[in-house]
Amino acid sequence: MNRMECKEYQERIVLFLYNELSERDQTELETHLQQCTSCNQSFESEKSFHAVLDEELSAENGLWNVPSDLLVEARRELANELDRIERKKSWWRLPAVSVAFSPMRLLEWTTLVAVGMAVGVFFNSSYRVGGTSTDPRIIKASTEQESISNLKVVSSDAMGNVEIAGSLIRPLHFKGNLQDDLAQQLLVGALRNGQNPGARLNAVEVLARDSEKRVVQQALVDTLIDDDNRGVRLKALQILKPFANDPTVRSALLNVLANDEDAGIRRQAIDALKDFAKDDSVAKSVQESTKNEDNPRIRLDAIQFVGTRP
Amino acid sequence: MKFKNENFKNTIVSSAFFLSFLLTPTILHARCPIPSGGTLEVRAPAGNLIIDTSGTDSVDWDVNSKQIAAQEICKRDTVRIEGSATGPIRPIPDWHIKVPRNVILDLVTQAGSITIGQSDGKVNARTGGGDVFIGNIRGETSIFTEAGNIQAGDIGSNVAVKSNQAGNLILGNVNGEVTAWTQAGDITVASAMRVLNMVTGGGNILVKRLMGSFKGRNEAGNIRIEQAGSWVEASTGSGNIYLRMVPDRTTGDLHVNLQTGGNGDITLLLPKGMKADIQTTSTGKQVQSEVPLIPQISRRDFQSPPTLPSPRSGLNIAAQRTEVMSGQLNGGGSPVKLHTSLGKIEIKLFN
Repeated sequence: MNRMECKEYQERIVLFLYNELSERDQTELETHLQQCTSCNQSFESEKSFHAVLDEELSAENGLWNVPSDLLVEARRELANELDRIERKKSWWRLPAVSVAFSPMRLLEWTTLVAVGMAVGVFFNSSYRVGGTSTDPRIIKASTEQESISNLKVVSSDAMGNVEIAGSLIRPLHFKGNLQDDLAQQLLVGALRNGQNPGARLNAVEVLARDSEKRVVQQALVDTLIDDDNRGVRLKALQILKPFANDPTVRSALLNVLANDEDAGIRRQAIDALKDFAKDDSVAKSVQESTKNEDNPRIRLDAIQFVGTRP
Repeated sequence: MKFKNENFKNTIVSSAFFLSFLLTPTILHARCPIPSGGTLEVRAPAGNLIIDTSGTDSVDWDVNSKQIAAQEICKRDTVRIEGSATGPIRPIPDWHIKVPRNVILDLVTQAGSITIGQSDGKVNARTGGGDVFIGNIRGETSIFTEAGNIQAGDIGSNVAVKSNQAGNLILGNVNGEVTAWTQAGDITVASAMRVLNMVTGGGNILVKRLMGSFKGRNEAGNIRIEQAGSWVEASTGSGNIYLRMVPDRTTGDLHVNLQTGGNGDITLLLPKGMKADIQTTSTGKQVQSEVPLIPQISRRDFQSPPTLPSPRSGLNIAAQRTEVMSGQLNGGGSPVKLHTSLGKIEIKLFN
């Protein structure tokens, strides 16, 4: 049986139980249920749930108590949903929002609110650096200052179900010392994940004051190789120059020499490697990296580099 | 937003030492005579050009490479030195050239750095790749490097500097107009009469003192103008802008247009006597002003999502609204427009 078809039929089951289907749709569904085991099972499950709801509603004069097994089921679904969100990381989703009120919808809304809270927890944790979100040095803005941006409708259907995705933004301020691991982690995070090249440039400049730390050097190496903005890469290279004796930094400089699109940055990279001209493996890498070099100065530098070997 | 002013000073000092080291007298042979105001043209296939301007009435030169065949052409007002490579050049040769201080310098090397001491003439220096270091130059100055840094002392006239790829540009006091362009890197100017255009793809712009106007932008990084005497138009793709207006007169064209993208902040300092019509636009509602500003009718940012009612959680979905505020200083005058996407705007007054 076609999965898409089944999905549509299963969505109609609830409407069928509330007598909200047209005669034609009802007949179609009944025919399908006779042929499809999977949908028939869904139908039976939904029917029994419907019956439980009816009983509870009549017993409590309209006040609805959720049965314990239903809560277990809801929690399981919530866990699945969270797993899905965990996989998606930067996106949150609002599944199936409908304006129509019904007990089933109420359940949906309950689940939705729970998912929403879980998403909130997830986003909070994504701002944690080293599990220190409660650190008093971090001044978090009130929820009024949170905002949602980049909203888009992922899907919608004629029944009023919509799926919406976007980004949740919460301001954050930190006051502390650069020697503080947390400060460094925030800056390194800004350098690696920041969307804003100006902010990344500032992060590089600030991290330069503590560039002897391994974690800082590694972040600068990553920036030197990966950052989209030439200015940010150039700044990272200038800070890393004195650390060319470190194999990781040296390797990054060779990578830049071979691959960076900017001749100014490549030239600074070969300049930073000058002290290692007597190292056979470095000289060989320089020779290899500059085989197709366009810039005449870098070509000359490379020739001189290799030429200085004993 | 902090710039390394101390570093700037250190850079200038170290450059001076570097220049004096490079310009240590070398044994050169007197070649062509050159009159005062004459022109020296150098066309080098490769090599570092080191120009010593302590000469008297001739051009003396030497190149320390057997792989370069060079010749000089002596004319009445012009001396031309040109060379060609006769084989693989290794290592990068140095061209030592000694000229009188008052000649016009027109220098080209296909690959190598250019170093010039003090000069009273015009300077036009171009390199296919390498740094350019020059001392104080009295005449118009034009410097181009395909890839590298440019550092100059004080320039007595207009100056244009360009690094076609990444490189930092540093200028001392410029008694003229400045045009500066780099693909990536910082641009730093101690002072200038006016900045015609200043662009960097990624890097900070710092102008410590400006007698006239400024026009410039960067894609990423801060722009800081510590003193501006006339109108300013500055924009940054993502970074902070700091501007202190110090006009000689409070009349004339003193318009200000500052724009920052991303979460860049704007800090503007205005003299209390200046007449201005101020307008701020921001999305973050974070405007602090010593000039009273009144909110104008909001208009939605083009890129913001459709306005939705806030959900029960209290999340601010409609936060992308652009808030426009305006006010007048001393009854109004020069238009002052400040725009930030997500940052803060601060307007301060001083005596």
